[in-house]
Amino acid sequence: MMTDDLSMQTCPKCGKENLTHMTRCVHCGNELEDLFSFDGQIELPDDENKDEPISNLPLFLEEMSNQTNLIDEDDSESDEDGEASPKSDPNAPDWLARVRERVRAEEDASGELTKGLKVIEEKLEDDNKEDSEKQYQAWLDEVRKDAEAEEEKRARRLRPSPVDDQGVPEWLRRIRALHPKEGETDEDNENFDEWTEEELEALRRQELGDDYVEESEPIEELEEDEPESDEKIVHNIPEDDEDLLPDREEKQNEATPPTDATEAEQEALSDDSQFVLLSETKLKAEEVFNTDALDGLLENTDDAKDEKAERKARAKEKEAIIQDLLILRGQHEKVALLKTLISDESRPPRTAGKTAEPKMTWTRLIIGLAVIGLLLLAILFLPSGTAKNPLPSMPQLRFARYLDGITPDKQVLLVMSYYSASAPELEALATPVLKQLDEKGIDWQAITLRMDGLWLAESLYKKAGLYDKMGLNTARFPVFLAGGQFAMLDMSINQKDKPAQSLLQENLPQLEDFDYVLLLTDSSLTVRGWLEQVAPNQDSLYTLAIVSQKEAVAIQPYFYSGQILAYLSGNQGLPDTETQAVLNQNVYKAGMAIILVLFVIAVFYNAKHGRLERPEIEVSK
Amino acid sequence: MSSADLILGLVGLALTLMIFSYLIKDNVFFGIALYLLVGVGTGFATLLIIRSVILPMLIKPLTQPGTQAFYLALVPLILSVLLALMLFKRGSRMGRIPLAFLVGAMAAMALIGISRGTLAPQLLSVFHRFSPGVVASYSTIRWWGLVEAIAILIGVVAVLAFFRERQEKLSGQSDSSAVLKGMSKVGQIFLGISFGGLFVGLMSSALIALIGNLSEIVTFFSRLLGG
Amino acid sequence: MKKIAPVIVAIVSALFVMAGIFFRESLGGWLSVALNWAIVLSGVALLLILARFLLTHIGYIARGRRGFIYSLVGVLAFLVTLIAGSIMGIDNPVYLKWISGIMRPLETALLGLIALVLATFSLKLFRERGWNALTLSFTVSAVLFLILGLGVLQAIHFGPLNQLIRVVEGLPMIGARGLLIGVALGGLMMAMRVLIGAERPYDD
Repeated sequence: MMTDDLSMQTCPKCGKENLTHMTRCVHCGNELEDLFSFDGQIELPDDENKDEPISNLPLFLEEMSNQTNLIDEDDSESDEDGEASPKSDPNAPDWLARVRERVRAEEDASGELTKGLKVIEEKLEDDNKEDSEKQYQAWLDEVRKDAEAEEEKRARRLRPSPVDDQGVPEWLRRIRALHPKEGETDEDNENFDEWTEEELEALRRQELGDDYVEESEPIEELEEDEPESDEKIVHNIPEDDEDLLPDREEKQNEATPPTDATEAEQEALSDDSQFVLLSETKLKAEEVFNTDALDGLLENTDDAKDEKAERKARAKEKEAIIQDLLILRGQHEKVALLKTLISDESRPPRTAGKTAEPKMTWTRLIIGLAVIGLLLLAILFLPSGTAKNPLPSMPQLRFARYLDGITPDKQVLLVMSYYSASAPELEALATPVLKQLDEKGIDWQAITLRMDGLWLAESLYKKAGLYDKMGLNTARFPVFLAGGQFAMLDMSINQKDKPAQSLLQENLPQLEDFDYVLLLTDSSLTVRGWLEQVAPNQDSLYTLAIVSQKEAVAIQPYFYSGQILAYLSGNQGLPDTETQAVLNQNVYKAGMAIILVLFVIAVFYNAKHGRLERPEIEVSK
Repeated sequence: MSSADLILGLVGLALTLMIFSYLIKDNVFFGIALYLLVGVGTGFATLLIIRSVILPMLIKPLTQPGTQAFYLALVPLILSVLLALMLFKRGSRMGRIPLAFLVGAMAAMALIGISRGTLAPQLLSVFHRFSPGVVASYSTIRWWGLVEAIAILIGVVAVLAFFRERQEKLSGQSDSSAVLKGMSKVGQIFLGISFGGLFVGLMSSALIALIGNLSEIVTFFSRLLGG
Repeated sequence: MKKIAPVIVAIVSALFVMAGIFFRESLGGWLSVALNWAIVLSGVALLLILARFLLTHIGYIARGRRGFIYSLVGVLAFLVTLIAGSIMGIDNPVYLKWISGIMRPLETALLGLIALVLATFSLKLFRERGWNALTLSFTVSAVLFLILGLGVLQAIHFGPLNQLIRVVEGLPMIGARGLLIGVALGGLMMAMRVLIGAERPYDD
C-alpha cells in the first residue's frame, strides 16, 4: 500500500524535485500530475491517462472541486429528469470513470480505498446527487483536515487529549475551531484551489526540515479499538488515530451538538499547525465523527434497511480514506519511522513484570539477613556435630575401600583444580584422605590446573596438619600446569624421547610413573577433560575424585560407567568421624533445614496466589 | 595474632561485608569488591602466564639460536605476532591464522576425546546393564537390575527426545509426532529430577561456603577479643 | 586465497592432531610440539585479552567515564599485584598469603551470596515458568534431596527405606547421562563441522 523508498518526482513547472506522493509542488505549488499510486493496489496505466488526472483520491477531490459546477449541472439535469446513473454516466467526471474502470479491472487488488470510492460512487448516482456531492466533497475535505490536524498533534507529541467538562476531547475542540459555520463551503472550495504563500511555506517546512519525534504508544492499542480493521497496520497508521476511533464511535452514540470553538482553541490550533489548511470547511465535528453525515448521502438509497452493516463499512472506509490521506500528505519520513517502530512492536510490552522488582529486593534482603542471622546463631550455640553418617552412599563406601587398598608402593598424583570459593568444602573432604595417605606412607605429587592451587595448597596442608611436616618435600607443593586440555593431552602422550625438550613444561610429572590419580576439583569440566584427554591414553591409571556437591550429579554418570572408581562429594566425606568434625555438620543441617522451609513456603505461596499458571505476558523471549 | 593476620582478617571482613551489601541492592561497595577481585586475579594470572608459559616455552628457546628448539620456537613466535596484530583494526584479519590453528587442534581433541572419553563409555554403560552378567546371575534374573536397565535406557532416550522436540520447536516446526512429544514429557521428568539434584547440590556448596565464611568471621572476632 | 588460508590451517592442524593421537609411537613427539605451540598461543591470547582489558579501563579512567572509579580500582589492583609479584616472586609465601587473604574471602562470600539469592529464586521460579512436567519434577526432587541432605531419613535405619534412598540418590544420574550424551553429540557435531570447514569460529 505504501511505497517503501522515498522516490522523488520532478515538477513539470519549476523542475524541482518533490516526494512521490506529493500532489502539489512544494516550491511553486503547481499540481503534480499522474503521480499518485498505491503500491500493489492500483496499477496505473502507463500512458493512458497521462494528460488527465489519475484516480487517486486527493486528485479526485481536487478535480471534483474543479468540476463541481460540471457536476452540479449534471446533477441538476439528473434531478430534473429523475434519472440516475445512465444519464449521468456521460457527464460523470473523468476521475469517476477511471475509478470504475480500474475497479472492474483490479477489483481484488483495489483495497479499501477503491471499495470506498466504489461505495461513494454508487451513492453519488442517487437523485440527491448534487447535495450528496457537495456534502461528500465537504466531508472529504473535513476528513482530510482532521487527519492533518491529527498528524500535527502527533508531530508535537501530544499526550492523550485532555477532555473538557462536556467530555469533548481537546483535539475535537480544536478541529471544531477550524470550522466556521456552514455556508461558507463554496468560498472555501475556491480557496482550496489556491495555495497561499503561508501554506506553501508551511508545506515546505513540513516536508524538508521538520524533526518529528518517535511515537511512544504502541499500535496494539489501536488494534484493540478496531480489531477488524487490518488496514491500519497496512497503512501504518500513526498511533494517535486511536483518538479518532473511540471518539468517533462515542459520537455516533451520543450525537451531542458541537460546542463552538473558542478563540483560544482556534489560536492554539493555528499556532501549532504545521500543515497547510487546504480548506476551511465546515462540516461540524459530529457530522464527521458519526455516520450521520454520510447517512445524509445515503438517505434515499436502497440500502437504508441495512444501516448497521453500512455504518460499519462506512466507518472502515472512512478510516481507510483518512489513513490514505495521511499518507498522501507526504508523511514519508513518518511512515518510514513508523514502519520501523511497528517492526519493533513485536517486542513485549514495557509494563509486564516491572512492578515486581522492588518487592523482590526487599524480600532478598529480609531472607538474606534471616538466613545469615540463623546461621550465626547455629555457629555460636550448636555443638560441632560429630555423628557418623548413618547411611554412606555407594560412592563413599567405594572410595573408602579403594583408599584402603592403596599400598605404600603405589604412586598417587594429586590434581588440584578448584577456586578459593570451594576451598572450605573440598578441604573438609580432602583433609582426612591426605592424612590417611600420609599415615600409610604413600607419597604423592601435586599439580594444579588453576592458579588458585598455588595459594590454596598451603591452606589444605595446614588443615591436614601436614604443612610443617612437608619441609623439603617440594613435590607435594603443586606445580602449575598451564594450557588446560592441551596440557592434559600433552601430559598423557608425554614420552621421554621427544624433540625440542626445552619447549616442554619443566617439572611435569610423567604419568607412566603413577598408579592412582586423585582429582580434587569443583568443576565437572575438569573431570570430563581429564577423562577425555588423559584416561583413554593411560589405561593403567585409576581415577578417584573429590568434588564439590554442586558437581556431584554431573559426574555420577562417569561413576556408574566405571570411568571414575569412586568419589566423595559435599558433606559426604569418608565415612568416619574425622570428616564430620572438619565441617560443622549441625550448622550445615540447620542451614539445609532453613533452605527447605523457604523452598516449601515458596511453593505454597505461589500455589495460593494462583501463580502456577504460565504468565500471559512474557517479559522477554 | 600477628599484625599481618589482623590486617588480613580485617580486610577479609570488610570484603565479605562489601559482597553481602548486594542483599540491599547493587551498590558501589559491591562493585569495588568485584573489580578488586578481577584486578588481583588478572594481575596474578598475567604474572603466572609470563612465568610459566611465555618465558620457558617461547623466550628461552629463542635465546638458544641454532638449536632445534630455536627453530621450533619460531613458529609460535610468528603466530603470536600475528595474534598480537588483532589488537589493531588493520591487523585483525591476520589473527585468523593462529586462531584457526587453535580451533583446529581443539576440534580434533574434542572429536577424539568426546568419542573415546564420553560418548562411547556412556552408551556402552547403558547397554552393559542388559548384559547377562548384570541382569542374570546363577541362572536367575535379577528383576531389579532389569528394571533399572530399562529405566535408564528409557530415561536417556526420553531426555534426548526432549532436546529433539525443543530443537524442532525452536526451528518453527510445529508438527512433532505424538511419540516424540510423549517421550519429551518423560524426558522432562528425568531432567527435572536431575535439575533438582543439581539445585540442591549448588545450594549445599553455597551453604558450606557461607558457613565457612561466617565461621571465619566468628573465629576472627573470638581471636581478636580473646587475644 | 586469503579467505581459504585459515580454513586450510584449521583442517591441517586438526588432522595432524588426530594423526598424532592415533599414531602416538611415530608422531607422538611432534604432536607434543604442536600442543606446546597451542599452549603458547593460548597464553599469548590470554595476555592480549588482559592487555585489552587494561587498555579499556585506562581509557575509561582517562575519559572520566561514568563509573570510572571501578576501573581505577581494577587497574590499581592489577598493577599492584603484578609489580609486587614481579619483585617478590610469585612463589613467595608472604605474597601468596596476601593474594589468598584477598581472593579467598571475596570468592567465598560470592558463593555464599549465591546461597542467599537461590533461596529467593524459588519464589520467582513458578511465577515465570508455571507448572509443567519439568518444574513439577524439579520441585518434588529438590524437596526430596533437601530432606535427604538433612540425614533424618537415613537415621531411621529401616531396610526398605534405605534401599529406596539409594535408588532415589541414583535417579539424577539418568537425566545427567542424557544431558551428557546430548552435549557430547553436540560437541561432536561442532567438531566435525570445523573439520570440514563448515564452521569457522575464527573468521569474522
